[in-house]
Amino acid sequence: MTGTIPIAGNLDLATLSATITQHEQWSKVQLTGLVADNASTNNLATFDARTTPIGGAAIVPTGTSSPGTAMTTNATIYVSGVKTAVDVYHRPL
Amino acid sequence: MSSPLRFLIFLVFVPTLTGCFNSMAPTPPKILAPALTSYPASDYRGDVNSYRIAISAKDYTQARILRDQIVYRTLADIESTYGRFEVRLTTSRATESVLADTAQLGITAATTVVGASDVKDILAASLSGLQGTQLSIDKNFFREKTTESLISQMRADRKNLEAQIVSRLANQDVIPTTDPTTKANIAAYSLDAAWIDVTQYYYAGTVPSALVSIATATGKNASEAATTLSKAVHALTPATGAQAKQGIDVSRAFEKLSGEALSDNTTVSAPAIKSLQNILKAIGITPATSGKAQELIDQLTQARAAADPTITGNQDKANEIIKAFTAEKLL
Repeated sequence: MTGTIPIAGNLDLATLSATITQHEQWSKVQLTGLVADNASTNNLATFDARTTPIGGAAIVPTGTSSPGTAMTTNATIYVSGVKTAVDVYHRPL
Repeated sequence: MSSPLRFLIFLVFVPTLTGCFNSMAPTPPKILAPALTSYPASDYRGDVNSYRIAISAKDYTQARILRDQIVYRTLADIESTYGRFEVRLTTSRATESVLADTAQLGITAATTVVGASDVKDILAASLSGLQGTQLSIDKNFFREKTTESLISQMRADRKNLEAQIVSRLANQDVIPTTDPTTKANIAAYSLDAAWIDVTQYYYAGTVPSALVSIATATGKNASEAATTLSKAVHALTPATGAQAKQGIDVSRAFEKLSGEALSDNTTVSAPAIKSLQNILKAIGITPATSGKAQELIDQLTQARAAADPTITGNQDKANEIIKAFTAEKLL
């Protein structure tokens, strides 16, 4: 599904990465934006349609190295209910 | 007199001759004449003085009667002038538009018949100025709102405030009281408190107030729409790492199968197309009768999106697809 969709703000980094990956793979979309929704303490993820395959998403604390291509850097989102600065990568296929 | 000028004068006077401007409201009956409903300042000062004396004398019954009388007389006075204001607002805006349109038509017509180019230029510049002025009045005084929307907003705001005032007059005394049944405290509604509401009631019947109300309502509607949208779009259902890996595996297998089905080599494409058809059948979808690879790929792409566990909230449909891929030995 393309567009902006809420994601619970109480998820840990691993679950958040798995949830985004799951949605990207099944719905054939690609994460293009991730921000904290201050009104609801959720996160808001924006997805666009894609035509090429992508690897799984990896969300890591800002500054932590990860294999793959950096999609977003220094995004402030809710991780386990706490605002955290993260980098988002797409792992290699 | 030149013929263009005669034409212009004719256009200006046509609406007046047809009586447009006098057909906005019937003549009010004599009992509604302003003189009968108006509340002279001398009467008002006398009533307020009597109210203060009654309060000082602790004659709250008399004070309440005077309070109600002052408020209702003022409301009646405002109501009387407001009705005329509505008619005047509608008439004056319509008149301005008709006169501006008439003048524009006249200038346009005159431009076509005059010979000298200098005069043509002057007329063209006058026309631009006239159009700009009309647009500016509409933008700056009325924020491009129609007369109907302004009147509708003023009426709604006034009715709300009127209901509030009438209810308070009926239920609240000039001093704090206690409800005999519920024992709840009832706040006082003194003349001064009522006067604040009456003043607001008057200003609710003005164009600036209506413009603010419309803007506020628009902002509120936008905020409510955002809230509704947020409620309508459910959050993604969380997934585990193992489930995400399965999703990647299915995607990888599907990409490979799609590539093979689209291959020019029929030895490669034929079995891939057969697999696509089998998978679709296994998940309850009738494969496209054309048997074209792209149509089958599109069908399965849609089926996968419809099975997305983060949207459906469960793995059921996704498991059916995984099972079908496994049966084709693709996983």
